[in-house]
Order: sequence, then C-alpha cells, then structure tokens
Amino acid sequence: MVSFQTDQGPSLINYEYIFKTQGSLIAIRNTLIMGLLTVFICGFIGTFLAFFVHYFDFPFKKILDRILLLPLVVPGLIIVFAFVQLYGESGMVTKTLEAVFGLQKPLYSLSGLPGILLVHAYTQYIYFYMNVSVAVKELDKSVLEASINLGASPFMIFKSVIIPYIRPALISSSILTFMTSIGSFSAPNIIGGGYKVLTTQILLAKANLYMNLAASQVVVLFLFAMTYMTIARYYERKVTFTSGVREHVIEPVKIKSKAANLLMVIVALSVIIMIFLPIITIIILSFVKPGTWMIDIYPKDFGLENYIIIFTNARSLAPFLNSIKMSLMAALLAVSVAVPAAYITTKTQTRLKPVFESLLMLPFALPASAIAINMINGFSSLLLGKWIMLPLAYFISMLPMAVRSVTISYARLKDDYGEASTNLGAGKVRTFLKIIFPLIAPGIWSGLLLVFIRSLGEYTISTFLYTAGNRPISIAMVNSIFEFEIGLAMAYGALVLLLTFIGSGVLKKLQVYVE
Amino acid sequence: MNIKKIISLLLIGVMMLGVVGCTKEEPAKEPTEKPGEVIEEVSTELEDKILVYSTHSEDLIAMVADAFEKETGVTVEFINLKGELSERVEAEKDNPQADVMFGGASNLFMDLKAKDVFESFDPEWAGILDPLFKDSDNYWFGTIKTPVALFYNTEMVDTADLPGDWSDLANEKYKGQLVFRNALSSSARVMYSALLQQYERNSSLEEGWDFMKSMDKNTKQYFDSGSLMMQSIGRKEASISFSTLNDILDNKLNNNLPIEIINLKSGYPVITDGIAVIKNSPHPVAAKTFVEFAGSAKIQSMLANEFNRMPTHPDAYAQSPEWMRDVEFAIMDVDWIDLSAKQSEWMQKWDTEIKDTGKDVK
Repeated sequence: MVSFQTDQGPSLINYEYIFKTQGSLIAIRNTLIMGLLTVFICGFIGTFLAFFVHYFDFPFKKILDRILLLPLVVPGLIIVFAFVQLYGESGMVTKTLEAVFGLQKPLYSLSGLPGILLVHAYTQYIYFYMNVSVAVKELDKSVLEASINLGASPFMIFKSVIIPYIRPALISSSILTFMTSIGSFSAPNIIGGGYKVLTTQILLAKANLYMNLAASQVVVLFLFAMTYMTIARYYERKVTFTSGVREHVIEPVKIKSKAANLLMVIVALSVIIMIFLPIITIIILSFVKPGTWMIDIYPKDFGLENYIIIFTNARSLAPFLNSIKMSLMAALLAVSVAVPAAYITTKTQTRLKPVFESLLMLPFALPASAIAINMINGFSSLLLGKWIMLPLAYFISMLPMAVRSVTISYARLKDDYGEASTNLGAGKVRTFLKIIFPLIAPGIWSGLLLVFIRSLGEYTISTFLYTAGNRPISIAMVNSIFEFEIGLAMAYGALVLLLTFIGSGVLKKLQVYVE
Repeated sequence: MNIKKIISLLLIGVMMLGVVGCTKEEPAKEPTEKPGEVIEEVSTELEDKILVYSTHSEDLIAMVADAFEKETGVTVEFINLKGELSERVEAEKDNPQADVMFGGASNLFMDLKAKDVFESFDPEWAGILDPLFKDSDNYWFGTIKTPVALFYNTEMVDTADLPGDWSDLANEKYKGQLVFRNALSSSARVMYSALLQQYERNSSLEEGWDFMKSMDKNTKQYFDSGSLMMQSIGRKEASISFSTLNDILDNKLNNNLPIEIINLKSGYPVITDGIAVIKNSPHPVAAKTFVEFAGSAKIQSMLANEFNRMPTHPDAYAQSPEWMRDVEFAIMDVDWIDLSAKQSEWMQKWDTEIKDTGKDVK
C-alpha cells in the first residue's frame, strides 16, 4: 500500500503549490490546530468519563457504559446533521435559548473551529473512554490501598499511582484521536465554513479533478499523522511501565460524602446530557412525519411512517444483516491479527519492529478513500465485486484500532509471568492461553467492540467497495439524506443505535461468560 | 523464547498476505479468466443479470429496474452512488464490475470518455436525439434534462421584489437573503461556471469575477448539503437559492416547502444526465439492452410523469406532464465543451480567491 501512495507520483510542483499558496498554508496550520485541540478535549472528556463510570459506584452504570459508545456507530454525516438540528441557526436548542432570553439573534453560531471541535469531541472521546476504561479496570487495588495507608493525598495518588497506570492508554488514544480528527471531513465540510483544513482542500481538488494535487495533499496529511505517532511512541517507550497484574481488582468506590457525590453527579450529568442530546435528536427525528420537518423547528407530527417504509421494503432491511455480518467478521479478523502484532511491537526486540509498527498504523494515517482505491487496484482481478471485499477493507482500515487496544494491555504486562510459566514447565501455547491471554483479555474485548462499532457506521470505504449483495446500512442512511428523506435517514440511524446498544450488551455478556 | 518466534512467524505470514494482497495484481489468474470473457463477448445471448451504477434516487432506479426485469427477465442489480461514482468507475477500469453507468452530468461523461471507460454503441432512439444531448462518437447519451433554476420562499419575498436576471443578485437589497451550495455540488459548479461563461462571452471574464464577488457579498451561507440548504429556506433563514428543477419540485411537493421558481431573463443552464455502456463490462449484451430500454420514449415519459425528470426524447416529451411541455423559463445558451474545459480552474479560483470564507458559515 505504501508503494501505491508513492506510485501516484506527485511532482514537486504540487508540493510547491501546497507550501507556497497562502490558503493552503492556512489549511495546514488549521489542520494541526484542530488535531491537537481535539486530542486535548477528547482526552479530558474521555478520561473523566472512564473514571466516572468505572472507578465510582452509582446506579445505571452498566447501561451508561454502553450508551457512551453510541456516538461512534453513526456515520459522521448523520451526527453532523443531528448537531445542526440542535445547534444550527434554526436548531431546537438555539431557538429555545433565543426564546428564553428574548434574543433577536442566535446566541452563537455552530461554525468554524468551535463547531468542528464540538462534533469531534462528541464522536472521538470514545477512543480515550474505551482505552482508559480498560486501564482503570486493571488498576491494582493493593497499590492504591498501600498509598492511602502511607498517607498519600488524593492528588499524590492520582499523580504517582494512577497516571502511570493509564499513561499507555492515554498515549494510544491520543494517537487514534489525532489521526481520526485530522482525517475527518464531514464536520469541517458541513459546519467548518471558512475554516479550511487539509481534508476539505483534498475534496475540492478532487472535485476539480486535480488528482495529483489531491494526492500530494494526502501525503502531507499522512506525514503529519506519522510524525505525531513517532513522537508519541518515542514518549511511550521512555515511560513504559509494567505492573503486577490484577491480583486485587479494584471494586467500584462508593463515595461517602453526600456533597461530593452530588458534585460528581452534576458534572457528569451535564457531560452526559451533551452526549445524549444528539442521540435523542436522531431518535425523535426518526418519528417525524415525512414532509413536515423541513419547515417546523420543533417537530409536531409524529408517526411510524419512516419505520413502516423500512420494514415493509425488503431492500431496506437487507443492509442491517449485511452490516452486522461484515462488521463482526472485520472485528474478529482485526483482533486475531492484533494479538500477535501487538505482542511483537511491545514485547520483542526485533530490528523489524519499527517497520511492523508503521505498517500496522499505516491504514489509520491514510484517508479512507485512498485505502479503498488501493484495495481496488490491489485485488483487481481476484476479489473485486465479491462480498468479502468490504469486510476485508474494514479489517485493514480498522486494524490499528485493535492493535492499539491490545497494545495497552500488553504494555502493562510483566515479562516475568510468561517466563515464570515457562520455567515451571508449561508449554509455549499453554503459557499464552493460560497466562497471557487472560491478562490481556480486556484489551482484546475493547478492540473487538471498537472495530465492530466503527465498521457498522463506516461510509467512505463502503461507497467504493460495496456491491449489490452487501449494501451496508451506512450507505442506505447517507443516500436518504441526499434524497431529502431526512426522517428515513434518522430512522435508519435510530435502528443502528438500538442495534449497537444490544450488540455491545451481548459482547459484554459474552466477555463475562468467557472470562 | 520460542513462543515469540512462532507468533512472529504467524504475524509475518498474515502481514505478508495482507500486503501482497494489496499490492500484487495476481497475474496468474488473469489469463485463465480473460478468454472466458472474450467468448462471452462474441455471443449475442442475453445474460441473466446486469449491474448498474447510478446517481439517481433509489426510487427512480428501482422503477426502471423493475420495468426492465418484467420485460426482459434480466435481473437488474444496482448500486446507488453519489459523488464517488466517477472515481469508482475509473478505479475499476482494469476490471470493470458494472455494465452500465446511469446518471451523472454530461461533463462527467465527457471526462470519463476521455479516460476510455465507455463503449461506443448506437441505440435505436439515438438518431432522434438533438445532437446537444449526446456524444458525437456515441459513447454516451443524454436521457434526462436537468435545469438548474433559481427559486424563492413565497412567504418571504413579494413578487415585485424578485430579481429579473442573474445580474440583479449582485444588488445590495438581496444582502443576507441568498443561500447557495459550495463548489463540491455538481449543479452549483455548473451554475457558477455557466454564469462566468456568459460574462466571458458577452463582456469580459473580469466583469464575471466582479459579479461573483458582489453576489458572494450578498450570500449568507454556502451549504455542503442540499438537504440543509432546503431546510434553511424552509425555516426562513434566507429567501432565495438555486437547485436542480427536480429537487425544487421534490421539496415543494413532498416536503411542503412554500417555494416557487423565479423566471430570469438570461435563463437557466440545462444539465444533461447521461447513460453509457461500460467498456469490457461483464454482461455486454444485457448492458446494451438496458441502455436501449432506459432511453426509450416509454421509460423517459415514465420518469417525466413519476419523477418530474425532463426527457430528451421528443416522443416522450409529447407525453410529459403539462407543466413540462409549456416550460416558462428561458434556457441559457451554454457551450458545454468549453465549460467542461474551464470549470475546474474557475472553481478552484472561486473557492480560494473569490468566495469570502469569513461568511462561508454553517
């Protein structure tokens, strides 16, 4: 795939255009700012929520844990639509605030960098949330208790005990978040307005059929992603930290003080409401009668029309099955490759390690459409037009996510365990199955879930590779939007959300069962 | 440390598979498959299925596909693509998956013809078409005319205040009243370029850019999504916009928007929506039969009556809905070949230099 990237042979003229034109330079700067800010915001929200859900005890915890995963499953375009319906000029929240405060003009406008960041924060905190959750679950209770007994302040505990534990998770997540955010185009394109970033420039160049310019812009984007990853990985190696493994798994902490409890709940609640609103919007809009919502700001007529359309038309139902099958397949494939791959990058010292590492992360640094076109070129005569092509593409593009998830679990795994087991006479396979595998299981499960959810909502790769036999749900959804059938799109969206909710529940159950 | 070795080997194996799969063309397979295809091409027997790539709406293709299946017994599978259609057709050039490309503006077809992805062919009805609506070498044919028209929210503007021609949109009284699509929309690209072409032909390109600049000053928002743009008109965020005629009618009739078309002196550009047989397609006979069918007067008039799509076939035109036959608006005289050549350069310039990105909100 690397070769194909260079095969597109961007000449120096294109780079000269990129680095000398004012507009293009601004786009590059904006891309970096957007990427870094997204990482900070998502890091904060995701880490906070992970601790909130897994470290403390409160009702409805399990359901909340599952609901928090939902934003990742809906294609970006649909999420952005939901945001516009809420916070756009005629959005429900905007108009409500206007009415409440008696304003003539909207209080804010959902546009530019803040608008993009809002959407990114909303869709991308999940990487931090999932990875940090795994780390939190692996926190060693005995260490925490020891430090409390030794009189450490909560801040000290956080700084010197908790941070080192979750650091690999933070670094991994920041890599995923950075790469996703600089590659995202739905948000910058629809609500970014004048805020130009590289992805919007790539789309423009493509629309103008300046394919070489687009290719060189892709290369620049790719270089940013790789640079970030290299720096992050360098840092990660410097601070590698392994621990004794969960002899004492933490139990959720019950907060004793009522005031502290209330404060926690209020903060969390406001974040959670922000996360719920768009989901609820999608669900509400899915019941709005076709043909009314274009004019009304608050929907008045509700009905089941959109669902009836979906359930009475065989063509509309098939995508659900297709998507589930393909996503499951991609997730299983990704995890089965990720387990040995992550092992090599964390626990061995081969000289080929950096090569593996960049190969494994490569798909994330490439825009989805580039992956798809390379797949078409690569599998041209063999698999093109076959059902398997699309799940295979999902697998390739989502592999980095699975690898990172598993890596986190490996990173904290002491080599001693494996060695001890071997010394005691256990076979290699047995050591892996009995000792290593159970210890890295949380990472595997979260990788499985991430890939599954992401594949369900994948749109860009799908447009290039789907065939009549495996039309995925995301295509059905986005096409409805193009055809002015927003209610229908939202109904698809709502059904996918429901599906994910159930799916993640089943996966969790399975996890408990297997462990 | 044997386990590490085993795992490394396993991983290397899998990675190699992945990488090799991605990069190699698997030349061994090709020779065995190709002859089979050639034999198929020689035979004139109708295949039992075809695959159509289309930009049309789901309902529209489904109706044509069902009618074709009923008449010929050939199963029609279709894939409904939007902006990615031409990129996908081009990417699959070495191993075409689809048989027919149905839908897309004529400049798209011109561009793809130059890239040698279509097969020349002469349908029965092609002779009746105005040469305006087909390729001179028979690589593609227009089956639908798509005018791009200016429209307004009838609850917001008095008829007396409507613009009389495009040039009026530069007038300050429309400040903040206009919402348009950005340069990624194919209808918007045609619209902006056609206006520039009119200026270039009648006065000077320079004046055209001046006009675009003034119109930009009056524009409230550029949308990346047609749905959001229609919604903003429906919710009275702005009053005037342009779109394809069928989208305007669709939203007026199905989404109950209070919108009407504005008649302008210099008229509207009319985009031709094409159809073509893809070169080396897997089912060449059925593909040609499908094109023959989809362009026929019968199907064209069906689309005219069911989906408000204006036919290119004169016989279909005679059976089209009444409003279509006495079209009120003037048609802009556009040189499509010239436009197709200049559009990219103009749109890149418009997006980077003319369009005020500060106002380009939403």
